[in-house]
Amino acid sequence: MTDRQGQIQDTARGWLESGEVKYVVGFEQGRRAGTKVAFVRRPEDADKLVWNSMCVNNLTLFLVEEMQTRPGRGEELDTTPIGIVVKPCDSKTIVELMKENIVARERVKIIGVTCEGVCDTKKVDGSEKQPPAVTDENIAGKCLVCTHHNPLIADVVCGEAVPETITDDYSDVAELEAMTPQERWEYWERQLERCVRCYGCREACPLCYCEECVFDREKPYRWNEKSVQLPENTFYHLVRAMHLAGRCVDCGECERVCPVDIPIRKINRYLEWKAKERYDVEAGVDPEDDSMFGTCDTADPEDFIW
Amino acid sequence: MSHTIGKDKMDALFEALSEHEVYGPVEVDGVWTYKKLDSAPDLEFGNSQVPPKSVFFPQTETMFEFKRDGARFVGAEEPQRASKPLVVFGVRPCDAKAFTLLDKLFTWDYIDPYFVDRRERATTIALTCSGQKPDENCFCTSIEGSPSGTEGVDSLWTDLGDRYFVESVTEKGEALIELGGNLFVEAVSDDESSAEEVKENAVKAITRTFDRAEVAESLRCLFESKYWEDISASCIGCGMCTLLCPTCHCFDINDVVKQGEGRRERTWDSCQFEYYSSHASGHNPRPAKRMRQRNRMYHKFLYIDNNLGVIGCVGCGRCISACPVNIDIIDVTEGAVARACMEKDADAKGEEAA
Amino acid sequence: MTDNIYKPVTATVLDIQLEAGGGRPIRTFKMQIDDESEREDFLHKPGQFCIVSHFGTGESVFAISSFPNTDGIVEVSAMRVGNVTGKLHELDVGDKVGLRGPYGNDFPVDDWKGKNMVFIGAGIGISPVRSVYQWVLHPDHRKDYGDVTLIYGARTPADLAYKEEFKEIEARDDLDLWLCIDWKFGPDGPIEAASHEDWPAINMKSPGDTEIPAGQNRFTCFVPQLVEVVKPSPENSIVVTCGPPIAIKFITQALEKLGWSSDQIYTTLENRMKCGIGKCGRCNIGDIYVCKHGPVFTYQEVKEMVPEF
Repeated sequence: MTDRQGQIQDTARGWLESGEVKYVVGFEQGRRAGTKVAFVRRPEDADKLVWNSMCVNNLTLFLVEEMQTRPGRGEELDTTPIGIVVKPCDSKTIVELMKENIVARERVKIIGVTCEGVCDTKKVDGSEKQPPAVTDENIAGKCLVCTHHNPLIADVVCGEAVPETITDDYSDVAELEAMTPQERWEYWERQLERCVRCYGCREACPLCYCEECVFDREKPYRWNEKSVQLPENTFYHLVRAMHLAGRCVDCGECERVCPVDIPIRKINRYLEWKAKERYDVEAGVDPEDDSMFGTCDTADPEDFIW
Repeated sequence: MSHTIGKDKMDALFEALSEHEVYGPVEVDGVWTYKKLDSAPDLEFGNSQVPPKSVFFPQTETMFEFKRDGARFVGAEEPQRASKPLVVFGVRPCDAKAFTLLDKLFTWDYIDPYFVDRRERATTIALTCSGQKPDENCFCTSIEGSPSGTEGVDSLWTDLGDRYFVESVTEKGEALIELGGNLFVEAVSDDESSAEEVKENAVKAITRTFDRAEVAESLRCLFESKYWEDISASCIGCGMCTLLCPTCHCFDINDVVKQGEGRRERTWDSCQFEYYSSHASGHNPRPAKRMRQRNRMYHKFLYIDNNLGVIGCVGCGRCISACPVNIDIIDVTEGAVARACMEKDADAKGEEAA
Repeated sequence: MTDNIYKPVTATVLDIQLEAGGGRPIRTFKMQIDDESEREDFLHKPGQFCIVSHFGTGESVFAISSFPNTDGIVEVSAMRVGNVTGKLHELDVGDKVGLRGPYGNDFPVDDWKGKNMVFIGAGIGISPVRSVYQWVLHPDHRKDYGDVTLIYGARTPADLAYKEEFKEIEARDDLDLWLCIDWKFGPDGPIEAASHEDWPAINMKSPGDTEIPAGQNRFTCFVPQLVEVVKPSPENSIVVTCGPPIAIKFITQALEKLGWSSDQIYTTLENRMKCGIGKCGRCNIGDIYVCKHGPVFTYQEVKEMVPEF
């Protein structure tokens, strides 16, 4: 881990010294074990960048913010690239964002970090002072099914290559599929009933980049009521899931940030699975791939239309 | 006079409250919220993720329904409001203290009927922090609170292992003892000293502090500071810190029409949402997240104080625990104090140079 | 059981006037509260606002522009901008709406007795001003005040609101009325060819030096320039002005040039509101709740607020 940290700091320092990037988004140590998002603007601050088991956030969110920032009146857009620290799963987000013309490759310099998995922050005691080692007990759920331990896109890769040993059989979501519709409905009712509609899942998702979300739209009418009740909560989560189908790279941010522990990844993973199975689509792998909803083929299965 | 009640008597107490609507903490898949109970309360918990303000001020509630004449709605009709007395179990003292802020807000010149009706009908049973609470994010003692505080509390319970030590704070608290009859037994001095020990340990467990007067002072001169840009840079703009806050009370009012039935309802809202203050014309007074973050801090530590004489924070630590990017309200206040000093120094130097 | 302050009373639409057309038309709605026992509670003071419900769509906040009364008559002028105003503009006479209020503070008309009054309205901003000039011009009150000057501008002659009322006002000899339209402007000021013949352009470079033919009280210009043409004296006087924020900014600048101080200038603010009674949170400008502490403020108070409009 420390080795990777040194490489990250060196790379960031070098880029900032040469002026290749205007700032680097990475992680810094928080008050206790958790990390915070760092915006490093001066080479001498590169030392505060850390790499450890608590570097969980998908920082590409801030890349999207940079790409969507418009210059003020009379100002010119500063297209100097930004630097960003990404895990392999986060790097898939960049691929997907390039595919959708949200991120221009030349406006980002990527510090990719090889990764053996990070902690599920909810499983780490809040009073813990140091980032713990990743164990079977505290590893993030997404890491258990991760098939990409090495960045898919990067300008510099930090860390030794990690061998790929996992095949994802989607057994966790297959369990859901095996339920009767009634059981499955009851399961989701129980989960979605407690949603507080903080929209944290949407705000944390780098692929939820619409500048005006359909759920914020008031005119000419609201698509979904503001009522925080089961029907509206369900509608919100289902629509969000559909908008992510074939795009979600399972970075797991939605589930991580949820203050009431709704297993949002399960919804997205189910769609990820079906996209793969039916349309041979895997999000975030190749920027040259077609998008699932942007293309159609006469051979596409259409058994969902009854 | 103090009492105790055995934990094995909770079922019987619940029975005795059959004429009441009973609320308490409920766990579903590891997440605690306050709900209406259909059996004796389970009080073996830390604190809820969603604060108990929801008992008096539900996240979504119907205000009234619309009367119909043919195809159109022509008026408002309020359904009969419930009238049963309420009992709320297991409220942490910080959250109970927050009720007193909401009391002030919801009676500020105009009486909010929904909140005030429920509060008047309710007996609040608070639970001294012990076990998992206070935790590393608690700081009630920095804002005139205490893990065994009695503001907003009718009956204060302290966990003594196999029983609770019960102190009646108000007449409503005494009425509860009367209603429970022989389920409550008179406390002996040992009980009192044990409870005292639990309370003292709770205070010792609090590790975080700040000086709120200093914070308020610093904020006054930081409005235009670039500090807010630094603080909000990593904010993702979700509404967790406010929705889960026991003192935050902003709400939205909307008409809902479903299957021909119309109603007006209100729902918690958040100043952290981008469109919260947007005018119908599209103009937004707080378009940037630095402005929204600043508004949250100023509202908590200055604005509410100026208007209602209390500050909008009780030190429950929920916003710290929940923030997806670890923005920590105490760090923000400490940073504000440091920044204010720094900027003052810089100003002074600038003046000297001039 | 506590009275429900959020519950609107039902009112019937008595009259609808189209005040201005275009993409965002303005209509004035005259409504009367149905239940006679509720009418007295709605006696408002000039400057206060009310909240109108289109049942099933929602509520919207409006300045009450009518004269205070106990007949339950309330008039508001609404520009069509959102969902609720959209539905209101589709109403017919006889339709039902909901009303709650009156809320907010009011113009201190009693404190102004003995003073000269200058009213300045820009566009729909004339609506909150209307309740005050109606108050001052009322036969029971007119003697309490000194000279009255009324300055009002809109985009085109057709966009000037309250036309019938202004005919009466113009016929009065106890006030000065000045009007302007600003419908056609090029980079160098009004386009001569486009301006209406009854509405001559003013001297845009130096409005104060405009030569005014006798009896001419209407011009092609913006309201702030008309203020410079009229040159109202700040001596023992009060200004009440409302309009879009940009108009207010230039009107106050014009007034300051003429020697007016900020605490002689009164205006109203309109922020996004839901509850109207200081609970729901969103209308705050710093610790000022526009719904409770306002909507009436002196320009001095506005200048002291945090810059979050």
